Amino acid sequence: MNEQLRAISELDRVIHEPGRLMIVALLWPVKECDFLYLLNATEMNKGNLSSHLARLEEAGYVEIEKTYRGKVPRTLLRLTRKGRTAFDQYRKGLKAAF
Amino acid sequence: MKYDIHTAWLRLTATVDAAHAPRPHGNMERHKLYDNIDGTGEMFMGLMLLGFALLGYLQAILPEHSIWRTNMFASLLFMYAVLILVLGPGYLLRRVIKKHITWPRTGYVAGHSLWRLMLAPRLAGREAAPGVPTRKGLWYTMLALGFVAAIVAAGLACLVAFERRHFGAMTGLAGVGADIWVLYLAHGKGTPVEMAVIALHGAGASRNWSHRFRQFYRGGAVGDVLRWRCVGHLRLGYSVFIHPAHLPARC
Repeated sequence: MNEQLRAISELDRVIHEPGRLMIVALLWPVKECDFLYLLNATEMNKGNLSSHLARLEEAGYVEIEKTYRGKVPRTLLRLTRKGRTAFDQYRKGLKAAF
Repeated sequence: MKYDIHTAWLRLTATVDAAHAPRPHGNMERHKLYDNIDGTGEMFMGLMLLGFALLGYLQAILPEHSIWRTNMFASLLFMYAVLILVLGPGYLLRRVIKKHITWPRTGYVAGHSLWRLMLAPRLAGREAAPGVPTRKGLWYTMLALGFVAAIVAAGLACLVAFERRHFGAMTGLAGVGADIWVLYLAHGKGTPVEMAVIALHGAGASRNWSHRFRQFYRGGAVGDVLRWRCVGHLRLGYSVFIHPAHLPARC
């Protein structure tokens, strides 16, 4: 297997899925955002977005903080250091592959 | 470039819109679209002009030999007090609008601090990430900060050199500063409407140069305050119109 094909095979599968890639790409340049921002930006439905976020949280890429603003629940999301590193690696891998 | 009513509105109000501008990392800069989606920036600008107008009015009605007019340091203190009194509530109002009107509709997003965006990657010797300003961006920022510092220094120098005898010229300088800002916002958007707005600003600034401050505040500043406030409120109304309120996110 040549280097370029190897780079493709080594891409992070957690990030590679388009829905999760959108989420990580949106979280990358910001400090934090809430669930509604991602819902608007990705135009996914709540269920899909929740499941993708759960998968990213499980991988340790996203930190989810559930708080309340008054009586209104608020879900804050931010990329962890591990998530940033993973996205960096993913970008480099993609660049190397193509 | 996409042209629709939203783009047309943003162009009309001469506001930079990251989402519609052709950028290499559009998705990575999407959050910038939310910075002034509600027109609070324009409202704040209107309040700032109101502060200057109020300052000029109070300076004009103060007794001739009042310490607030004759003493330079007292004048500066007076200026800061008036501006803080006007801008402080404006800042709080901006927070309230964001918290109760904007974020429940558009969602909340916070960018990184300047340190995180610009200085830390430079010091760490890392390549700037997408969406993070590059070295060129850092230089531009430093240049802009230097320019602002030069303007402030020039203003203070004028204050020391001419005191209040040439206050009209200083308000003219403030007008020119506002024009530069508008030119920056309208940069690269050469539609006839924006050119007309810029021409009007230029005419206003040149008029300010040649008149004493009372004339400036009587006509120009009030018009500017109203214009900025109106643009801000219209923009907020438009933002509320296109972003229906969501139910609280439960996930």
